Amino acid sequence: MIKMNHLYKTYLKTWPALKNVNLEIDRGEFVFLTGPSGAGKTTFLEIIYLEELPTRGDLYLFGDKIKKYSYNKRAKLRQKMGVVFQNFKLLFYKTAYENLELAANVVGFSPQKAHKRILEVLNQMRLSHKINTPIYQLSGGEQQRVAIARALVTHPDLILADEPTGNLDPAISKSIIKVLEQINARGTTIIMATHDYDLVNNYSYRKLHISKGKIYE
Amino acid sequence: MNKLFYLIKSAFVNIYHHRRIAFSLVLSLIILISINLFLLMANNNIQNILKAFNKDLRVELILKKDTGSNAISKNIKSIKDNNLISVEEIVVNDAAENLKNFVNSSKVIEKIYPLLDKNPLPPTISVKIKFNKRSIQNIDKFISRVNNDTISTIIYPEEWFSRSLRISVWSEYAAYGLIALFFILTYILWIHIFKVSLFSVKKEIEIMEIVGGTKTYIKTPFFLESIVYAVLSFVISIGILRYLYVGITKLFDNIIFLYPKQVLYAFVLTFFITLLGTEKAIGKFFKK
Repeated sequence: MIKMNHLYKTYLKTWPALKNVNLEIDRGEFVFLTGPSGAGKTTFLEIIYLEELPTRGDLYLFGDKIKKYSYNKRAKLRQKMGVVFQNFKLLFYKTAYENLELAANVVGFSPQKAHKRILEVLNQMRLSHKINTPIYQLSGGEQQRVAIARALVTHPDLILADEPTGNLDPAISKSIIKVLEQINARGTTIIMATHDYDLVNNYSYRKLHISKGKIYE
Repeated sequence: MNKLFYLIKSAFVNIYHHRRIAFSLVLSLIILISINLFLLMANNNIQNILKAFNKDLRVELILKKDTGSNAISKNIKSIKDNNLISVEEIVVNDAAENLKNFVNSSKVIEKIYPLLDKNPLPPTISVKIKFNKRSIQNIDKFISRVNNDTISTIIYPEEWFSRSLRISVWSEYAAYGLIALFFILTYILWIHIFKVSLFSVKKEIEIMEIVGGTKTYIKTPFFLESIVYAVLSFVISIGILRYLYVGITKLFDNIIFLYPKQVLYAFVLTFFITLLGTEKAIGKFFKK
């Protein structure tokens, strides 16, 4: 599903964020990406969801080699992915439903299909009772579950989670990982970046470690 | 269809959210568009005044005394066939007609006229010219083209022609120069105010990018929003100018409004300026 060959990402021409990354991630995998702050975890994810393009090397996504794609082509590829952030990136004055509706409309779901799918994922995230609640009235854990629901609403093949438990307490963090595990069990590939080694050590999934832009298995 | 419906709905939601800033945006647009339309109307009226002043503009061709009817016909044909000036009317007076007019012009001449043993006056051709820039610009060329050995003198108000041309050209330069300036101002102002309105939806744009919104998809509601503002501002501006026009016509006669073609051009220009300004303003919110 994802393949990187001798991939480099350099900022400001001299500052390397990723150095000679060679790896392959298969469909249905659950991968933890660990590393200290500033190690390159976010850059790694940004390269995958095409927010950034590699400076050098080859990147394959869903079997296609990524070249210098136009904005719209990258957008179409992004529709196959769901992204979850540490700071949720939700519209705080909109309801959980409206936040999900935004994503459903972007991919062109009909109102009926969007409605059905939104209810389905909110139910899956156990948020059916919060459907019309504005985001600012939800707890941190609930907000993160809405963010995951938004990532799921478009039936993505891949979910990228950038420190999704960074702002949450350990119990809620575990519940978020449990949600991600359930999603993974349905065949969706998950890549989760975190600097919380204790949390990761509780699981037996594949672990990648990133340090100063280099990735180690 | 679903997408289009959603985009239109988003545009109206945006208008509602931006209503305070949209008020300033529409107000500034109304002021600038009204100034532009007023300048256009002022230029129309200057051209109209010049036209009124020049409604009897003529070139007199005084033919040689013994010029025959064949030569006169040839001259008339060459005047009619010219493509340099617009001719409104050609009046040919033969020698006898000119003498009659001359005699009737004064009692003294009427008394001494029987003393003349033969008609001293030549035939003439009077060419009435339609006042327009092309005619005035080409008058010298026209005169040298029609001049031939059957014509003894050509009389026309050369100084008046060049003065009229200067006034007409400068009035147009000034009006269109100021209009261009105000349209540039409109464009700059639009970019900046629209950008301010977009700050409130910055996060929404960012999220739409993350979930895979194409540029067209993300931009369309904002374009629709700006079209609504542009149309609204233009219609109000035309209304203001029309109201002003009705007031002015009560004080002065023969004031002309805008020509339909001008209204159409001004509208198209406003439309494109707002779209270009919107594109420029939104462009700042996209990462790459």
